Amino acid sequence: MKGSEILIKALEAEGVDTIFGYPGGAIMPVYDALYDSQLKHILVRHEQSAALAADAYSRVTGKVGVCLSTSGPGATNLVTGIANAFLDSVPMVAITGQVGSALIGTDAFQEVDIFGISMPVVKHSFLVRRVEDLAETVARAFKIARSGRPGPVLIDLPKDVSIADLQNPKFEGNQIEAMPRPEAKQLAMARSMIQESRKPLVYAGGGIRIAGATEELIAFVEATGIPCVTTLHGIGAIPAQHELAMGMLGMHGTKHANMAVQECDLLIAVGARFDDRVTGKLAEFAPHAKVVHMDGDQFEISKLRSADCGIVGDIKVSLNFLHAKPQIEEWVATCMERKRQYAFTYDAPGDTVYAPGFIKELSDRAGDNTFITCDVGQHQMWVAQHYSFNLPNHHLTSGGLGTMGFGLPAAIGAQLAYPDARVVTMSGDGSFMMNIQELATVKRYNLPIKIVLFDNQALGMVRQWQELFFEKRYSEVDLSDNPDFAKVAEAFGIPAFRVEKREEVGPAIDRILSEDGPLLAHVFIDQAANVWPLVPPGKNNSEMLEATTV
Amino acid sequence: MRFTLDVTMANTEGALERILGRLRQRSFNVCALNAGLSANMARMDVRVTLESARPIELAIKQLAKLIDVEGVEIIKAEEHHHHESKLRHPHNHTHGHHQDHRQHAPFEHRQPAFDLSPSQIGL
Repeated sequence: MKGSEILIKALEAEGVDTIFGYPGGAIMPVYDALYDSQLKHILVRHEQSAALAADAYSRVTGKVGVCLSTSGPGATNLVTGIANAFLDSVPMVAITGQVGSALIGTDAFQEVDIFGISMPVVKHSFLVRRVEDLAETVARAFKIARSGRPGPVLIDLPKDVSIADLQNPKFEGNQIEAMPRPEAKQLAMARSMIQESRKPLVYAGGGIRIAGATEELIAFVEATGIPCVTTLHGIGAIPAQHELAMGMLGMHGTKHANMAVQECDLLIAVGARFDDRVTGKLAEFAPHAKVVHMDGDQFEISKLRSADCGIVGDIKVSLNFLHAKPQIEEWVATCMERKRQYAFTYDAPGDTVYAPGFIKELSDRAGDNTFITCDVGQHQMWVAQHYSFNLPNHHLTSGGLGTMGFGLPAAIGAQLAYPDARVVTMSGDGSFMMNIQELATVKRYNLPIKIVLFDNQALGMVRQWQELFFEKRYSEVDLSDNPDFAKVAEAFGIPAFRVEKREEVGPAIDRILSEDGPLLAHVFIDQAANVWPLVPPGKNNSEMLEATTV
Repeated sequence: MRFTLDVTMANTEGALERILGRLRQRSFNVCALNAGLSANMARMDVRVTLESARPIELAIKQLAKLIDVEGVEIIKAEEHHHHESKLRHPHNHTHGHHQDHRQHAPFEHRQPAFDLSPSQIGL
């Protein structure tokens, strides 16, 4: 059996059914083996999209995403997608072709040291030197990608290894390892802290989705009666309409969420990592709170904020143990009153399309079996604020790396995983151009993805910051020479239409929800519309700016 | 503050590079380095002296996260370049047996593991 065939068999042994890639010289033996394989290969139009689609496929299925590229530029094009998976803790195996072993280190055609280039953004990497090691390497890569805090693993495969023969290779697929049980002593301590607290708050992050602990989180919140704020990746961990859900905290979080964080006496961090978008000025984040921090990754505990009680291990087990009954009626009443007082409103003046209102109406009408992917910028924050998610894996967003261009490849990955689900990608005119070539992939596989493209003819979030913090010196944010995106989509064979006035929003959503195939809605919005609230850089979360204060 | 760590690791492709890269990325300067293979070439022992304004626990955790690394131990801490002192209670971090000595820090002394100045936080 040739190395390339061993690779395919090893992937199948891991339960892989779909891979995303783009062929080229050094990876040709693998593509030759794919020709006879049962694996579904999705041909994207840029390797970055292969990695981003594999990332999304993993997020919605819980499986390890797999992407494939050739050496040199193919491999370097994967790197942004690999880094995206690394920052958002997504299990992925990225396979790159490499020049023949004898040519490594000679600056051969399409040779780069992808092993070295990718090192800071992978959990681990392998350069396969012998065909005898290939099957075991694939098995190890999958195990590493899934274990602990999940993440990407790179396998660099020299061409001579992929064409080498090996008799009777052995394939041993991995069993998924159970998370370790948390220590009883720490659990008891946490339970006691919760029982004694008078202003507790749950701070739920992306670790809930990773651990599959949504039900346990909701049960914990309901049993204890403690209000819950979420991070960007924690959105959906508790249903948005749940009475104790306080929305997102942090830079663009809700006012009531940030106020609760700043006043709480106990912060129960669940699968969250205190990143700078959440905390603002770290030294002043939740200044009155003791911290209970539970995470599957021992290295996250006390990384940025020292925990008074750190609980490492299976989050589900921890949450189930912590059903205390603290006396918090007054605190909950305060939180709920603020939630009512500071709820978002959708009565913006004017007749141009108000993006938050569009998103809210889509959310109200789309139904639960809808996956939303988005790009990066103002629209990303509007989705986070105004779309009501009931499951964390239905909101696909690039939170850690902030990868413009994530949305469309992510929609492709999600739609391929769930062909019967509704998949909507919301993008901006800046982000959409980053991977616009994937309209060809949408068309090729006839994926019924709905694209909502908010166009303010600017790099909106950068423009907002220049307006607020750089004295309105708008430097290189003008995109008024955008192409006609509807015509571009039609050139790819995808129907498209324009939405220019607020009165057209309802009919536009009708069409988005009723058409069977792919569709692009080119939605024109006001350049002056900004994302509120906003915690300015270096400030604490109680110093947020609002539309009425600027 | 200057620390000397002993790192025990599997001798795999890029293992030493991973250690150095991780330390650089987390703002630890390498002042001295000594590495050697075991007799059967399967393991590597690394002694590295680091300097940083960041707490040494961060370096230890980041090294211990690496797949190849089997153990990290502080063997020396120096307040000043010319004053060396042995730690009374050296940390010994291995996979599965991690202990975080800051988990029980008294509330009134709790501080961020390291602070980010406002100028470092941006869009």
